Amino acid sequence: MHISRQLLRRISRYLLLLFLFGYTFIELGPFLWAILMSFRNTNDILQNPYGLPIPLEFRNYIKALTEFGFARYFRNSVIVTGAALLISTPIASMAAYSFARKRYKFRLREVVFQIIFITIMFPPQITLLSLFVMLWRYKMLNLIGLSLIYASTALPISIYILRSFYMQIPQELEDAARIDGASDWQTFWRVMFPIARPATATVIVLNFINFWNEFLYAVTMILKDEMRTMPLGVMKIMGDQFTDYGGLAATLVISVVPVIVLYVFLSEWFIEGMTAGALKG
Amino acid sequence: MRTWLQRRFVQLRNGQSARGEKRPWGSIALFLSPALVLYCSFTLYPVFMTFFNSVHKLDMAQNMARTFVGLKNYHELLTTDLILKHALRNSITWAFVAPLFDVGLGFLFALILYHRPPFARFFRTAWFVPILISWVVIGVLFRWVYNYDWGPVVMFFRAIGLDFLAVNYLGTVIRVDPNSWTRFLPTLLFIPALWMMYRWTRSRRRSILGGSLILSLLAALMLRFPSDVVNVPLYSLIAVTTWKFIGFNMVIFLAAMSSMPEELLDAAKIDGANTFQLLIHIIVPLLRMVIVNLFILSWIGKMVQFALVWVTTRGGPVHYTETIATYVQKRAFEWRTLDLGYPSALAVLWFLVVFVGALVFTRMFKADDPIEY
Repeated sequence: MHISRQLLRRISRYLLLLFLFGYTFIELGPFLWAILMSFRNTNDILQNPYGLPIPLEFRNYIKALTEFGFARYFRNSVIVTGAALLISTPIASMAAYSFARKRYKFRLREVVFQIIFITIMFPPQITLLSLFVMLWRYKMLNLIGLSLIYASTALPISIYILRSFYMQIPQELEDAARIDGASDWQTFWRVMFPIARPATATVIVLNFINFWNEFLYAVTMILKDEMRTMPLGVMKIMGDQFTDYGGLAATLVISVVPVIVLYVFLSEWFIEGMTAGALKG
Repeated sequence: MRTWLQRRFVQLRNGQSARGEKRPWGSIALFLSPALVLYCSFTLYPVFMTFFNSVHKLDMAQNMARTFVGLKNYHELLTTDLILKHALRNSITWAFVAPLFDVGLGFLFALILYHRPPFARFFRTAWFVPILISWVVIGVLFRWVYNYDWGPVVMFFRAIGLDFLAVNYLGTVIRVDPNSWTRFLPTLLFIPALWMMYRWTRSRRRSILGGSLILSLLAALMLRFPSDVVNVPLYSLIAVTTWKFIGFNMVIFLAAMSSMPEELLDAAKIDGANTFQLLIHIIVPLLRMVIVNLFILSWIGKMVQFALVWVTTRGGPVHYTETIATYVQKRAFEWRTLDLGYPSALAVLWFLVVFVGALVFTRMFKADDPIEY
């Protein structure tokens, strides 16, 4: 009796593990499949979509980067993401700092913060068409305009996360800096901003993922082929090279590689960054 | 009401002007103005402009010339627009069905990992991957996954001999026999379900479990709403969003569970609660706010679903997977109307629905007597 119960327990344990691994396969399977396909030529894929890349083929990658012009889309994405991060991170940090500290309290401060924060509930369509008209008027339907839009969409959640961190920094630190003769700006830039580095990193990770993957604003604002960001590039190649599964798989792999490589090394940061906004509130 | 003196005292205590300093307006302006400028020009101003444009005709061919048309756009939207009906039905169905699966399954997997099976860390890291990948890449991948000729889903069902499940998942809409009595079932059951929901919102306890059960019933009925068809493409796309978000929700639940007070769980165990009772009476109420937040987050995300549809089906077949977001995009830039006023009106309408809906949900699910710990 005793033994059989133990056996049952062990079996159920293995069944659970089997189930969990099966589920992992469902979550990661499509990606693994794409990686396998990217190393095979399209004729092989059509004969057996699930075969292994036995003669390893790198032609797809070369084709994707040169013939499909994917290198340029990659570069555009790097530019837009980098510019948007460079704009949004300091701006959000400064605003969050002044929203958080007692010294900068003014009458309607909380109201202003709430108004900015509530924007995360807005559907993007409410600004999309007007932004298009606005950028079109000022001849800014390009990567600069797009980075500015990205930076502004990132503000509410960034300010929210950073503010709750700046609020936790003890008052004594600020006072000490001031007694040492630091101005407001020096207090922020030399003392507070370095202390807030973990929160800043969280925000950068979150925004990096969002900017890198953003599609709606990009598809609306970018009209010229040479300005396409990576998601648009993938979309275009999907349309043009519909039957070239190998080449298409290679473009997919190239477009996710930066994120996945970073994730492998910094997975805890990524998990923390992506969930930072949702956990509180 | 505070007197001037009291306010002054509070100010002094807070050290605001303790040394006779003025409030540092210069520094406030320095820190805040970049964010305010960016926010006002790229968020606030466009929001107002969309409201403004929605009562105009905005001709893209005529250098964006505005002509005032009053409420004509709204009138047309609410009376004659047939595609809007498809889009509304799909978006709302998506928004009510997907969160139940997202949050429910995320919770389930978090519970499993909370009990620390072997490789728990690996599972947590691996399941989180899809959230990092762009919708476009996922869209292309799932076009292959759902491919009718050699996609794994179809191959799987063919292999195990369930050929009737091997359909074209992104292209088939199955017609239901128009004489079948089941056609009217969703409509008939919808009213009692709404009544139950109403009773639930009036009840004092508003248990999260009861609420989600009623919501599930409503969602199940909604899934069958175009009652003449089984909308397979929509279900397939809902499955993709759920696939993407389970890991994300799971991680958040796991974090919340690990901060549950141990004493409470132990006390319940000592009192003889079994696993199920522990779940219903302790864990779910403790995680109430997390559940509600994730539900609303997921709900908003589904109300504005765009990229996945744009990449996979473009709203097709016919308009069976059209969402509001794709319809706005089509009306603005794809159709030959070249008018941005009408889609602006659509955007305003949707903005109000999403915004009010999110607020209503927050109020509805907030506990009257939240558990403090």
